[in-house]
Amino acid sequence: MAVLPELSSLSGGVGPGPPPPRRGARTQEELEEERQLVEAAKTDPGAFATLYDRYVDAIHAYVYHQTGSWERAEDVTATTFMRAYAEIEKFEWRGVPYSAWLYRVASNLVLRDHRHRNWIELPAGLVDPGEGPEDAAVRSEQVRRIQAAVRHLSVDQRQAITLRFGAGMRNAEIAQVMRKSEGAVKLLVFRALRSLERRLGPDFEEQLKPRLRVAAPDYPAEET
Amino acid sequence: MSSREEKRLATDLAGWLEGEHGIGESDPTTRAVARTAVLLVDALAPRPLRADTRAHIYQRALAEANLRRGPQGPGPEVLRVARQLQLPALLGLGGVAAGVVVGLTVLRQREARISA
Repeated sequence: MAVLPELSSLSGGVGPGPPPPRRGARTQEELEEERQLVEAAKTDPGAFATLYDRYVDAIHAYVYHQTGSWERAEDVTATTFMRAYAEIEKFEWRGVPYSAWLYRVASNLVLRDHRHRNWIELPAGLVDPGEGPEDAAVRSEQVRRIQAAVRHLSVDQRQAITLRFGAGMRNAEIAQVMRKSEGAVKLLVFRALRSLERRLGPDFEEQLKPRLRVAAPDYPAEET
Repeated sequence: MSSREEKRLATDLAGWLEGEHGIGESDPTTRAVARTAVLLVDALAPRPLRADTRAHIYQRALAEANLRRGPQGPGPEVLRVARQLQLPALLGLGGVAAGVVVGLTVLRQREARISA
């Protein structure tokens, strides 16, 4: 767990820690490679399959964190890529990763679902007994608890922090996906984190300490 | 916390997350929030789907895309047939249609004159 040493550096006021790693940050070369791939996908199904492989895990995880349902995540992910396949010929490159478009489609589908399909927001503890084995196998109890807390956030807050921390997007990119201002995104992320911090409670970090001692042996010393 | 203070802390946090600066050492609220942020990276990270799940979603997406393309109506089919027709044939059909329109117009004018 690469994030744990950074967690330890933040815990005791010993100096500013580095920000958490940002997934999805692209270099210009990577963006250019993706632009070429998208152009190729307009005529070559094999190139589209490469785009699918690149993003399916991320889109599925994003929808899963929005809906709390593995089955709905599969439905929405399939529909997102169905639209992507159907509309790739019309896609215009705008200098941002193709995933931004996919996240926007997935977000709209989730919101539409929320409005029109008798959506019932399940209590966090009852969410998704049908969760897939790949999910259940890899999640620790702490991770599960954080995810449960995330499901208590408002739809906008949940969307903002999933894009921020799950997809690794910058605020400007999140603003594009959510059609909000960057300032609004900053506030959403901040309020979501404060809400999570309160919900997880001070005992959460205590529970995390044994794990931290293994991954970041200097953690207890920094606490004092 | 006032709205102004909240905006200041939110901006501070955003700057740290974007790697522009360190987190404020003296501000316990921001540090606690930043700690939660670090936890989230792990908790919300995408996990690789199993190969069969991945393939299943792909097949569904393509099947639905093909279904959607199917019932698009006769438009594309009509265009395809039209492209196969020779240009003179199209011109001839156009001429016949124009003649019918002119004939109907003349007939209507005559009927109007008679009834007047």
